[in-house]
Amino acid sequence: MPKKITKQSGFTMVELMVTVLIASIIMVAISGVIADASKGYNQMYNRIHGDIINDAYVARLRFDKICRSARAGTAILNADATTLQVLYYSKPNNTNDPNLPPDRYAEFYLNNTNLMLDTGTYNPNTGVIAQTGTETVARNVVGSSLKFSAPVNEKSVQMVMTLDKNPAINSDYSITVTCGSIMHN
Amino acid sequence: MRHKPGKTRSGLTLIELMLAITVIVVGVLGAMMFRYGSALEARKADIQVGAGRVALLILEGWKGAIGSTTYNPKTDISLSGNISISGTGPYTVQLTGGGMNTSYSASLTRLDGATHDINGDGFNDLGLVELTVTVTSSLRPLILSDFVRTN
Repeated sequence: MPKKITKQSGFTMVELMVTVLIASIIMVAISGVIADASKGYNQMYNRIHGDIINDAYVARLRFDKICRSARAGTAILNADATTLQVLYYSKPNNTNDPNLPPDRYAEFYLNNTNLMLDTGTYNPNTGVIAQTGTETVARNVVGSSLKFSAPVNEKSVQMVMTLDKNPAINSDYSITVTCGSIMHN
Repeated sequence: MRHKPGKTRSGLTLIELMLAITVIVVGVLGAMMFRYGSALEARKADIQVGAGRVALLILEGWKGAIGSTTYNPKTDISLSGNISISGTGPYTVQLTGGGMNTSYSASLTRLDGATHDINGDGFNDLGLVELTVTVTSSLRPLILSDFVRTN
């Protein structure tokens, strides 16, 4: 009985190698795109929820709350406008009498790269202030960027500063904070 | 390699291959444009937030000046550092620092309540004055307004 000739089908070794090579190139390209997307997501996440964003938010909030409770005309700046002291009311909602003196003081200033806030009591009879607390309001402040403003004979105060996670590389994780508040009375 | 006569060879033609590559390239370009677009929109949002803060800074300063008709953010808000306000109206507000270098143009429009209805009740409002701040960046303008009582 003659042997039946059967046709063998399949891939040659060369075809297989070429296929694997092409598949590898495509896989590397796709993984590059995915890695880049992941990096972009992390950057965006840090941009929205990162340290400097939280610091900027807290700094604006603290500055706003204290200055809106402060009495106009009590703002004192130092020579280069890098510290601000105000006298404010502990209960501004109960203080409608413009002649009633404030009972608290607050001072914003820079310590290395931290924006600090000292608070304490103010005795309107003696003019003596007594510090009772200090807090770090914001970190990562670019040293020379912090400036305050208190226009003469007006009721507003302003603050500007740049927060930068890594100033050495001029990173994307930086923000220039501007805020202004009207004083209480 | 010899082939039996009359038997056709199967496989992809060059045209088919080129077509497939073109389709893939268009798809990849589309995906890349999507990512570029999202990064661009995030940057635009950043600029627009900055515009809002500039507008608020000017408005708050003006309210602190009790609605002064001679209010000038360049001199009244004497902030230095990474913000500079220049011009005589419209004012140019430049924010710098870190990776940020954005310029805004701010126009101020005052409205006197003696001759205008400011609070929208159908009557003129003597003693009220309104300021509208239009801050323009590389994007569409942002308009904020507020009013104060001057007496």
